[in-house]
Amino acid sequence: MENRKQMTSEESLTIIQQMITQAKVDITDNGFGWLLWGSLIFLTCISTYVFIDIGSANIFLGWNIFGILTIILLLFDVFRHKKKPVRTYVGDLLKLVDIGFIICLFTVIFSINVAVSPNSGFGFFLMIFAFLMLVRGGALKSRALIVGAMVNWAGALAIFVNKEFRYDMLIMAAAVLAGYIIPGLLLMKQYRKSNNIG
Amino acid sequence: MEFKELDPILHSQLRLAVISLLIGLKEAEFTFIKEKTNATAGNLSVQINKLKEAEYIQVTKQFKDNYPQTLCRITPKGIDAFEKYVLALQSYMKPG
Repeated sequence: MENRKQMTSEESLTIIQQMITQAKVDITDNGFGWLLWGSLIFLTCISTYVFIDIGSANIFLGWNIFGILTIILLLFDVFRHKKKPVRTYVGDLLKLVDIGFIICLFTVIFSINVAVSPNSGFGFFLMIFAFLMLVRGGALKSRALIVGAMVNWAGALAIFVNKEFRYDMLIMAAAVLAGYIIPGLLLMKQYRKSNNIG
Repeated sequence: MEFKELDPILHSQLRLAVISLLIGLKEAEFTFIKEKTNATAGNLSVQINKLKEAEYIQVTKQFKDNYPQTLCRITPKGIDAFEKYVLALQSYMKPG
């Protein structure tokens, strides 16, 4: 672009319009995070169900491993090299939502360890999962994530009503499948298509 | 009909492009602006300096991973000037 000073009002408006369109930074997601996180929780729920069924002494073994893996993945994400040429107001807001989500997550984990029964605690997990799915789904314009959020809220209610813990694990596995794994696969497919990958 | 005077700082192709780009963003790197405006680094640098002198944008120079990084963001004065510029343009475009 040159720097001509003689511009008509139409030319000025065209520049403004073009640049505002150029500045639109679409929020994209390759779906990997949803798939990874969803698969981990899904497998942990199923393992817990199996441990209860076979009468294992340590039914929370899967959750202990999941907790360690979560901390490692979070630290990896914090220290990962991320260079973004532009910062948007929406991007910054989503970052705060993510931080809030992680704080809520660890608060629920803490509450399960000190006060809240696992029967209810896992319902709170689904509640905060749903919140993140709704916000992210809105930002990404992903109907699958928004539907996933509704399924997770329904799952949370089902967990609060249900009294047998092992079925809570099956409810949670189903909610995670609908809220994380399926939207994750769809987002990955969409991302690969829009970036001509594979 | 009265025609409002167009701000000479903004009534220049590249400077107007930079401000229009920054109006919807919180912050952008020099390289991002260069890519979007299709300007040469030298020309863009001069125009960014003029916008900075007019206090329409804030420029932060820093090092990130051993590479120099120039970040630009629009100031409240810049937003105000842009809004006035658009209003002035509208007065030119209105029929009658």
